Amino acid sequence: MKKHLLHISLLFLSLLVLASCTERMSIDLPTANQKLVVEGYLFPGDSSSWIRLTTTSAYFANQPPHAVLNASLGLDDGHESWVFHPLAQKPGYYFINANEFTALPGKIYHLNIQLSSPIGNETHFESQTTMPPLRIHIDSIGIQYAPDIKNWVIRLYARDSVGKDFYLFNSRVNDRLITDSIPRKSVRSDEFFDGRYLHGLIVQVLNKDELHPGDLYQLDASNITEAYYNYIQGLQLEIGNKNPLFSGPPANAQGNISGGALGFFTAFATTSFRVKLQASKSINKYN
Amino acid sequence: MRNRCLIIFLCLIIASVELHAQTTKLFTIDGQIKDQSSGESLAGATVYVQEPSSGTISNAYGFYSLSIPAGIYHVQISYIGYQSKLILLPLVSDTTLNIRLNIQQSQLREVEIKSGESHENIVRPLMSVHKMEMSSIEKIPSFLGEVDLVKALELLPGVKFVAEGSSGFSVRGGGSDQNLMLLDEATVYNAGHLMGFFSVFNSDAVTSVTLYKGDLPPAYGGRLSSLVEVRMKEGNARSYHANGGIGLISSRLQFEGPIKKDKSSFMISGRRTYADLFLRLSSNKKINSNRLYFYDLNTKLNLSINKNNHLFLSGYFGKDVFKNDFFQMNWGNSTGTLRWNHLFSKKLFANVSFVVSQFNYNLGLPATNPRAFSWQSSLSDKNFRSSFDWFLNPKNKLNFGFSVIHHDFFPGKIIGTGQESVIDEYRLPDNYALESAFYIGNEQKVTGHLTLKYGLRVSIFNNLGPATIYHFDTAYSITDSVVKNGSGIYHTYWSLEPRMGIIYQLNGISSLKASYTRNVQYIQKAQNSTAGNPLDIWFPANPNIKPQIGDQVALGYYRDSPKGNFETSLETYYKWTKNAIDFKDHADLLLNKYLDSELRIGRAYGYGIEFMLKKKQGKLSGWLSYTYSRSFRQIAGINAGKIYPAPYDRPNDLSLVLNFELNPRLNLGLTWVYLTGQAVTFPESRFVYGGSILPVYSSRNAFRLPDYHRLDLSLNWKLKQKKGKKIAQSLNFSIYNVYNRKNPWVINFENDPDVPNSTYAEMTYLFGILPTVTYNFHF
Repeated sequence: MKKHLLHISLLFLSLLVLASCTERMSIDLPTANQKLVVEGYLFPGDSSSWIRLTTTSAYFANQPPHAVLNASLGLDDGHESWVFHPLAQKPGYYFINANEFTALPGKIYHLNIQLSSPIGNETHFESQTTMPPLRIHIDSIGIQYAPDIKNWVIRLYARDSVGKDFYLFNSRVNDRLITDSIPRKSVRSDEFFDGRYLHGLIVQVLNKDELHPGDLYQLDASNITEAYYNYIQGLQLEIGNKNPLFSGPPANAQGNISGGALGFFTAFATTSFRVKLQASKSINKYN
Repeated sequence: MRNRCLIIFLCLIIASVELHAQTTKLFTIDGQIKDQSSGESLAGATVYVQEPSSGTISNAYGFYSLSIPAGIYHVQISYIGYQSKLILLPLVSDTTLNIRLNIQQSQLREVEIKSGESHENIVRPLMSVHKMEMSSIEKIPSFLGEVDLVKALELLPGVKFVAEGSSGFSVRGGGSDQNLMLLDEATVYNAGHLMGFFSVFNSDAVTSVTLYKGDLPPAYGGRLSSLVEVRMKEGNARSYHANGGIGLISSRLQFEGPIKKDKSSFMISGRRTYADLFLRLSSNKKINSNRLYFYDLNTKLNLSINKNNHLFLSGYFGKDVFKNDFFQMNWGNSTGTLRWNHLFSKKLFANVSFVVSQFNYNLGLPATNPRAFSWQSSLSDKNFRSSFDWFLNPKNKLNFGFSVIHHDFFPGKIIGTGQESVIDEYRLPDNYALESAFYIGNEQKVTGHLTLKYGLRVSIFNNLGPATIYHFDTAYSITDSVVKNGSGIYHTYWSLEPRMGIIYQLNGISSLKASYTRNVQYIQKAQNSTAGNPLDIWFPANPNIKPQIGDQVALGYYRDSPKGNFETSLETYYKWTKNAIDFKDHADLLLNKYLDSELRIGRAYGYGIEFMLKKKQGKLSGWLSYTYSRSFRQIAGINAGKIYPAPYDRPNDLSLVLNFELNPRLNLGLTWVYLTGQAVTFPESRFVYGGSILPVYSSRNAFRLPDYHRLDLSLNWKLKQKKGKKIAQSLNFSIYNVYNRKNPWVINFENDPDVPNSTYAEMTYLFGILPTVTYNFHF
């Protein structure tokens, strides 16, 4: 709700600033010391859990991130332990097969990373996470083309459980992940609708060219931790445009990796709802 | 410590009263100083009696009083922009001497300036204060044709805009919520139209503005950095007049005149933008359905009941509206002041005021939208205050009084009205508070060279119920809450706020001044953006949030040219703040009932040196001001607890303001401003996460935007007045940003959508070269 309001305010701002202009500019920025970046996910069920290790680079480096190879990654829950295996075809990626490991709700998982050579004067990094229980169950979804914003809106029909919940929503069309970048991901807190039934809450917005009648659409919904919700929100704030009227000072999102590393290690389960889009000018509701 | 301060102060006051009791028989000259043609009171006029070298200054309502022994005196009355008067007065008894001054004619040449006339800044026991008349502000090149007193204040030393196009400003490094803005004693909480591009002060309705930079008089408090006193015109008590203008953005009209000649008068002034009126002419529904405008309405009634009693009633109503088929938003201020001036005696003047003010905003999606909602918020004040000026004797002028403000904070409520709306109603609880103060102050002329100015303000802040107080642990997580039922006081803060100054007059044209002030701020704005916006909310001190306490010491040297045509001043200051407030990274300030947990508390400090050279008279007039200043914060939980530059830290600030009278009908104006670029936070590296390239930011405010500079020009052309016609017309041509400098408003760092793995920097600048023309009339 608040992001929606802020976006409206920014729209208002853009209408007001009739004489404003934007242009690219050249600017010299110093480069800070290199840091490790950890992007890690634990999943239950059939999905393999994986970790990606890269490093930071100069802001205008304009190259893919440098992959960190030959690291040792271990996972334990206090009783059992697992080892991540490097993925040969994707340097910097380490995975555990679904048949080796499945994340369970309520357990605390510790991640240990040991590098073969130091980054930022450190070779050892740690993190921990827990997987919230999957409390959301999708009764139905609605897909509607909204002519006022010229986009597809995806509506959720589900009950929010009583108590604090944080959600992550993703979209796939014909099995391809559409929300494949931070700005596209939708994270929600149930602050304004705790314990209520959601009669068509808009949870995703797709560009008009991303969905066509006849396509297979899939909505993924996950319960996530508050820390991960704050992290994604923080990244979305920083990747968005800023202006002196509405934006606070830029700041780095708070990750959960030790040793000064960036990134986040998280765990969540996902429920999906999959439909074939019918051609229709009105809202399509799928049960 | 607080008790010791109080005792010392009381001893000083008692000594002054004793001195009064021991003097020889004196007679009192008192009266009102007014404008000859309009009857407007002139506040701050100098009344100087040459023979005993004694003088005084008229108070905020034009009243003065001066007690001297019997004798024959030359009494000189002067006021900036007006012809001085010299009166030979035989004084044998108490005498009422009402003075009317004429506005200075523009063809007055430098050689005609009387000596000793305008050394007010030397002798006046005030420092860090600037007073500007609207007549001089109107000569400054204007932005889009709108004369704006806030933008004029930003040309003074120590005052900077917070962002281009914003009505917020920073005084000596402080935040925009640290400025107390009063319009006829009513607080104006959000002084900006159109997101701050224009201020709410209609130049036709205002007579003058006075800025106090930290050294607030004891009668005022509640803000750390400044007091901006805007006075509305009282209305011409002698004849009817109208003023108006048609500009690029807005049109304005003002009427004033007597209700009963020399006894009562009225003033009504309105201004409205009209771009939306043209939009309605479009046949395109998407264009003609837009509503975008703002308006101001200023009204004043002025009633002289008898020679000892005077009533004023003034009001301001202003609003901004933006509305179309998809979205609607409006915000605005309204204020009302009822004031009674009473003369108890020739030496004791009282002012009693009842003031109300409100700021509110509403926004949402229209009812036709299935996702329709409405979001409202407001802040209301009711203030009762009383102040007394006691012209004790030629060497002592006491002022004392009290003020009580009831604050009603309504932080916000959202109601879902559309059939697809997710929420029914979400409301943040109201907050109530009482902010009271008692004060006493004295200006004491110790010797012919030395004047002391001292005062004490005792402020009290009560939180009133009902309320819910949340408690937090050291990680700012909520641990529990306490509900306070009923409307009683559940928490109190109180403070002593001493105000002290010394003025040592070296000779007739130079003086040294020093001051110390403590100010306490109990309410502040939840705003972490640089410029602020109408959605910002104010919140009070409470058991979780201590009041901010600011101290300032200042030292100044003032020198005039012998004829008084040039004024120079050099001031240096140091200020420090305890319990300084900032907001955590990614603070959630909108509709957050746990707002207290978003704050981080620490300290702030700043220092600077301010130079000003002013030419007051002649064909060429204006000023040059230069400030070097720094402003820093150190807040636990922000920037890893390390010191960082405040958002308003801009070390170099230079303003050149010139006005050249080519001939009686043609006037050229020039403004050139230069400021060090704003302190900002830029990325120092980048990383990839979740399929996106993301910046890794430096420590807070470690970088700077490019320096800001801009030249504005204006030409004011008075059209020939036809014989026998009362109407006077003029055209004003202004060019903002003459050399089209692209001053960055913000620099963003973007992912390049066309080139994989690529990023770039993008600058947004607001205004290139902007010419405007405004037609003005007066009759």
